[in-house]
Amino acid sequence: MPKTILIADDDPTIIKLLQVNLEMEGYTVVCAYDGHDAVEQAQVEHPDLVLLDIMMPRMDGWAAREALSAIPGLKDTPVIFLSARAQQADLRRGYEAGVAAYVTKPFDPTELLDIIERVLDGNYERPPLGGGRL
Amino acid sequence: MRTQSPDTTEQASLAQAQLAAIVDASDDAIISQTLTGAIVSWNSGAERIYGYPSDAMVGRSISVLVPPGMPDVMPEVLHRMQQGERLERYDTIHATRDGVFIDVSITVSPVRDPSGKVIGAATIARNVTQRQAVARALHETQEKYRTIFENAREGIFYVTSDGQTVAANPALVRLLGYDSVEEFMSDPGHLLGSWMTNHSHELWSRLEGGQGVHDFEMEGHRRDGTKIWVSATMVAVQDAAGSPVTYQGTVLDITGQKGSEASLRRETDEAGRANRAKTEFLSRMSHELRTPLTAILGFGQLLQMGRLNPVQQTESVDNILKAGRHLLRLINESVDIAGIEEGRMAFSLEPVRIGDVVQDAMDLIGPAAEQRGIEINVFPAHADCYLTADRQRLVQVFLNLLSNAVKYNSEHGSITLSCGESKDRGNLTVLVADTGPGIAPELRDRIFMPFERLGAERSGVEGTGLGLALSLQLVQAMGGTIALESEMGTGSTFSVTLPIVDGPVAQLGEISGCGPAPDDAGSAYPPCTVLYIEDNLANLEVMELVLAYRPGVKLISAMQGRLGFDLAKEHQPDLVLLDMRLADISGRQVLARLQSDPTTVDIPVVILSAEAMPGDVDSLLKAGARAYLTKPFQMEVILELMEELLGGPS
Repeated sequence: MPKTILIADDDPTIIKLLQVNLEMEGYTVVCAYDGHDAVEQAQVEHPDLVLLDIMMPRMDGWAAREALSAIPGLKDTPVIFLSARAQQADLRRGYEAGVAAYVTKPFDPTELLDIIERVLDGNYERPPLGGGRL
Repeated sequence: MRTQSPDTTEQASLAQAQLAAIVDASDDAIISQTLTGAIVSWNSGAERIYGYPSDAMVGRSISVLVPPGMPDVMPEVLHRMQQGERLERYDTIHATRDGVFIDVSITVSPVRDPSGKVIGAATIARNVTQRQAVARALHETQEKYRTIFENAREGIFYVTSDGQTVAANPALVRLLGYDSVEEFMSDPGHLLGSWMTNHSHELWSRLEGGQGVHDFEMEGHRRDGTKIWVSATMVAVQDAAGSPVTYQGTVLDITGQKGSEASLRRETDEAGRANRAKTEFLSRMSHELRTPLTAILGFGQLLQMGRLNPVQQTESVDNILKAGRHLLRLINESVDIAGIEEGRMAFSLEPVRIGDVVQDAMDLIGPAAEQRGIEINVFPAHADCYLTADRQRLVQVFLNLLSNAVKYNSEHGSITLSCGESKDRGNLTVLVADTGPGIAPELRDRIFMPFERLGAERSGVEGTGLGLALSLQLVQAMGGTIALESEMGTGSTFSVTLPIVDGPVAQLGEISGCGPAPDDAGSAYPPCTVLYIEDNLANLEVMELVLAYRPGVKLISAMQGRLGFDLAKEHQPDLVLLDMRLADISGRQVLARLQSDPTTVDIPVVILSAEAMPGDVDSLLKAGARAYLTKPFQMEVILELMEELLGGPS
């Protein structure tokens, strides 16, 4: 049975890009356009993995991740942040929030697919935090 | 004659012996002398004080004791004794046998014989040198302290616990704005007391706790009401007798210091804010650049993989192009904003007719508005008003506002463009009103901030989030203001306010003060053709007026640089007048084209510009321009130049 991935991003172009890539790999894709939408969809679809943008209207990625972890059936669902916020402080905050991976935009689709696969298999290790970058 | 009984004789001799013993035991010098000053007796006190033995002194003059060089008052004193007077505790200086000067207090009384006749004087001298020294030292010390008190730069005060001033020095009085200590002391409402009351809690608790107060900073007012900051140092004083507590202290005026501290703090705050704003801008910029790059690289890689179907391929290319254009806009607008902030962006400020600016912006936004079915209504009142602005930049501002009004309008909404003279006369306000959903009051402050799209980023509407930030900066750089009014559910109105100025035609009149053009002045001038490349219609009008003074000139005009160059080639004018700021290519580029084309290289070119940067003038003259004139035009200068380049009346 194909795994379901919930993607949340306020930019429809990015949603489209992710959708094409993930579907080509055989994943079932559920789309959400802000954090609030993502939390609602997750409760219905019970995805195997959530790919969250951070800067989203209504509810940002941080808050969405927080909300998801408070829902019994979803608290163990791995979350990957996919954000154009690429400063070390953001990555650190993401790691501290317990996200499975933090991928910065622009991303390499092949690399992202690789990370997703490894996170789903439970053998992904987050790279250590390095030097700062804007 | 009185008779003495043996009994009385005995008593008398006893009394005499007692008296002699007293005289002998006295610490004071007791000296008797005749009325001429000859010493008769010299007791042991005198021996101790003056160091002379009695036998050395008896028979000598009492004046021996007067130090050399000092006036001898004894003859005068003895003279008075003769009159029966007494001299009580007269302070003077005597010299001892060793030549040491001592302070003495002398009392001189007349000595009478039994008949009552004054026959001599008794001098009692007390050595008061030590006492005098103490007093003198005390006096000297007091004098020193008084000098400090009077001349100190710090205000010094002495007040009772209820705020009554016991003492205040001139510095304190000056510091508080009084002319004299008396004036200060007689003003019951003076400020020391009120400070003490105002700051009572903190002050008293520290003073009563027995601690002094050091460098306690208080703010107050001088006598004339101006603010003053002082630093006070105070101690509570209570003497052993338990008199009421008083407070002594010093006050230093630190108003200036406070002021520089405040301005330093302000500068530091501002620098910090600017720095944070810059970091924030960069961080936002990074985020905003990464988003379209994600699309460009992501779809590019998808295409590279070669697994997309034709529809997906087309979509991918569209997304790449869209993101690329977005990126370009983002970069252009960021560079503009940075340019204004650093003062690098050149503004060509000149009178522009608002009607022309609005029309230009309307022409550019027309297709987009039509596509969305948005109707634009323009109210032409005040269209003939002139504002001081950079024409291109002002068009950019209105294009931004109109573009927002189109993008964020409701379906089949409308836009109203109107003008009105502001309440503060001398300014014109141009209003761009839409019928969109409106902007919530709490979001209105954020709307002019860079990258702030207030949630429009999820609406699918394209935008960099920089348009309003840039518009605000542009308008401010042109000396105007931009504001927003909005009503939820009804729409938003952006207003741009700029100062009204005389149009160039009116300015020409003011500057030149010329009369109307003579009717028949023309015939003498050789006929010629002048090409004026200028995008500001108002300036073209002015040139027509100027040329009325030089009939025989055929004026042709171009509002764009490329067209201007083409017209120059085609018409071969005798003179090209060239504006620097044109919509398509710059005046400098037009000049370069004219100079590099063999058919136009010999046509004289005169630059007319509102900017007069010395560097520009030189480089343009080097590039082939014959002259550089700054706007506003001066009619005589233009006419003289034409005479030089085109020839005078025949």
